[in-house]
Amino acid sequence: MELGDLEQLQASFRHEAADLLIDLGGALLQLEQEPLNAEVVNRVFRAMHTLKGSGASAGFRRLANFVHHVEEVFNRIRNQQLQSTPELIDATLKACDCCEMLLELGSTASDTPLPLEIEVLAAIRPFLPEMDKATGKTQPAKMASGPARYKIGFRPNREIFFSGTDPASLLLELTDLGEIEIRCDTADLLHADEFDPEKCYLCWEVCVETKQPEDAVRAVFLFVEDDCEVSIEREEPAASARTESKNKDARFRDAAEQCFTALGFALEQCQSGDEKQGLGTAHRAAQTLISAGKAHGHAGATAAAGEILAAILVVQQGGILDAGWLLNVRLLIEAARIAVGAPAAAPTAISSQLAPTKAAEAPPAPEAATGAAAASIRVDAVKLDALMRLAGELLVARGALPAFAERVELIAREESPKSMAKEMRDAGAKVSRLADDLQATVMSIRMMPVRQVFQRFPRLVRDLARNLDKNIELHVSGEETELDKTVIDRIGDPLTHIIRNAADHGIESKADRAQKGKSAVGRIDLSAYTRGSTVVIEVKDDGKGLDPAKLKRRAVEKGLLSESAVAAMDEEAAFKIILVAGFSTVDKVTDVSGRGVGMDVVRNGVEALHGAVHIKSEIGKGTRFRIELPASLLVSKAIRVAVSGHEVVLPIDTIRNMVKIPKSVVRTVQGQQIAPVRGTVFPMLWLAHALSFGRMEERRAELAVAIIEAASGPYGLVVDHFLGEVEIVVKPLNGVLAKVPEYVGAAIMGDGKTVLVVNTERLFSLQRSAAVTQNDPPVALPH
Amino acid sequence: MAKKILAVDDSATMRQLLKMTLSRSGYEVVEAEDGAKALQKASAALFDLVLSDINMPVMTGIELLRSLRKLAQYKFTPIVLVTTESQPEKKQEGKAAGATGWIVKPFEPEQLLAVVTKVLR
Repeated sequence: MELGDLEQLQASFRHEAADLLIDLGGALLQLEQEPLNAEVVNRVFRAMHTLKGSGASAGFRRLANFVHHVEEVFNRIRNQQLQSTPELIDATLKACDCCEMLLELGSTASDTPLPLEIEVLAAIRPFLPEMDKATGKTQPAKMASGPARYKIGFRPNREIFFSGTDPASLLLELTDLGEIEIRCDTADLLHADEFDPEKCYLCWEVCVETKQPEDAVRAVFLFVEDDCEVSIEREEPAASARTESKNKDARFRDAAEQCFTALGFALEQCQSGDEKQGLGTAHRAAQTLISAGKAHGHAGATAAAGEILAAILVVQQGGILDAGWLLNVRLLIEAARIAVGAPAAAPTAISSQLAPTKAAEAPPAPEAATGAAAASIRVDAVKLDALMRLAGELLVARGALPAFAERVELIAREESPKSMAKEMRDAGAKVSRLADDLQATVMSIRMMPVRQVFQRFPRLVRDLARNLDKNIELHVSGEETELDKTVIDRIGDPLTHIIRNAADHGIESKADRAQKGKSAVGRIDLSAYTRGSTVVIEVKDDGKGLDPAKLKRRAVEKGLLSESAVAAMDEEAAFKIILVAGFSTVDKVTDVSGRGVGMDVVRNGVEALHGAVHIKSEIGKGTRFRIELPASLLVSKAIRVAVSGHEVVLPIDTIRNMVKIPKSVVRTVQGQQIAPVRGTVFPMLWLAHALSFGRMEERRAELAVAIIEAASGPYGLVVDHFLGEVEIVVKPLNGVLAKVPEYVGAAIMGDGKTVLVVNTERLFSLQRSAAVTQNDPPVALPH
Repeated sequence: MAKKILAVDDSATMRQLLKMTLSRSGYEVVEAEDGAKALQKASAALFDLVLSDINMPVMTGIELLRSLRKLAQYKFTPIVLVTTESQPEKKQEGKAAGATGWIVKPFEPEQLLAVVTKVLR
């Protein structure tokens, strides 16, 4: 195998093995619940089986050897010699982890067993009657031997054709070994009461003189030795000298004569109306003659038999069987008879025309099957990103067209530029449609079901429950919900922390639950669903819930927050204290969590994905984490707004609605400006101020307000003007700008201008925390 | 004309290995990922050889073998089982269902080619 091939193979195995291990993990957890479910046992076995077989083939011998032992255990379970136990499941889950390590190490793995490997093997030892017998294959001993003569008796099973084996091909294979003599015994054929052309009535006696070892002779019959009579005897060289090659010709002629008899018989069958049977018999007989001719090295006879076969094939493939054809075949048989009688070396005139045997060997395929195998493909994310960027830019570029058309229209005084403008508009519409399609297609490639992340959690919860000695059930729903690949790749860690936290701190110990009269089994619900362009992932537990007062006290004790800061906090803000770095409510540091690291990963991770975390909790009843994520990070709709002579855009998915309100309704309460909008009072934020653009451009009686739905709560964002909706590709900011939290990125407009995208999600809380920490004077109402 | 081989395995790695090895030796290889898909492809086009894994979801190699043998065009076609199960009873089961031969995983490319050459002779 070439080097590049092996690398390709290994890469493909790594992908496959990762999928198999995930499936294996799932199946094991199910098996733990239903130890007698044969279908699940089979799933486990099959996954291991493939890991082993494909792993060994791709050069992961260490992995394959390791899996072999574990597979053996499941083979015993499958054969009902053994029953699955939680200990075994434990060991097997560890085996999966071990496989992941071995996969990492790949073919570079040294021979020193990993500690985990030793542990797993020790754990499964009791389940195997005998183990550690070297699995190494015994290499067939290669005996260097001088030429020897073997006498082979070969009586095929009558049904041999139905196993796809042509006995003649085996005889042919023997010719590779050396000088050969073949005698065909047709007694059975001649004495058969009823002749079935699909059965084999012939048997052979072969003498072969070869330098190859006996194993090589046996190997020829490897696939048939169990159901055919095969005898192989080594003859002494002295004895072999006796046998003369002149017998060979006689034997070949015998065999050929039998074929001619069969052909004659077949033709009679055809004449008497049983065409199909007759043709089948004739076909076989002709083929046997070809094989015998080849085996004997008689080119003339082989070619003549080929002619017969070709003629038979013509009728078998739809030609007409008439008197003319019968006569022709009879003539061909006669010609073959003559050829057989002629010396082996001389091909006759008829046979030199063509090699019809080719037609018999390779029947034309009716239609080419497609080579495409996999229903799903793995696509390199880098390529996808590039494609996505292109699609986005196309979308943006088309935005320039209508504006251009408008300008042409404006300057047009004559008819023709006007119609040109119309054409341009049409062209623009077409580009639009194309761009939309392109974008939708690429988006769909990037979208992946959250199952990819969710499937690791059943194992996590199971392990946590066992470690913590709690009863916990995980209920998963909405696994089909799709998210952008980037989000999928990065949401795993935050979710892991939330679930760990729920299992460790949320769900009570067995005793506590019993005492509180709660059901013995704690429950964690993990669900996902789509809401507009947002995907919501919820983790809900029925544990003890969060106590806001305790959280606040703790935060102050730890010096994370000031007294006044916690005093101003509402309930949800208090819950969110657990997301602050360095915070932990428990004194005992467990294996699982409690080191005060982790939950801040949730906030940071989700915010990096432009998402938001909400927490709801009720003491004694449980806690719900709700993560809202944009389904896609790349192309989104936005509202262009003007503020203090600048243009910025607001992401549309955070805007609840856009209204105009009289300036007079704005009031200042405790330093916070508020205003009622359609019956609800919202805190107000001046965009000009928040972005330090200075004052609003003009005095006006009416304010343009976007009601922003932020994770921290809704607020009104006051701008100068709304300029319209655009589609934007948000590009992250680089360098110094990357650290400015007021913006999520930059976007290129249709006219080529670059504008900044406001981080409406965080703008309000940024402003408030700035006000609290710097003790700024309250924002003044611009005059 | 190149001989056509249908390679059936639920493992993408194995299919890739079979395809790589065989197509390099001039065979035309079509892949199928389980017995049922293989049966479809085998019915739609004629193959000179079917190489099939035994342990597969949906339809096992043995079931595929039985189904193929029931089709007139595959009555006598070589069908080789590719498997890690070197246990004799699997071979027997395969033989009884009409397998031409078998090859045990893991195998070297040369071993695979030797078996294919043998049964396509």
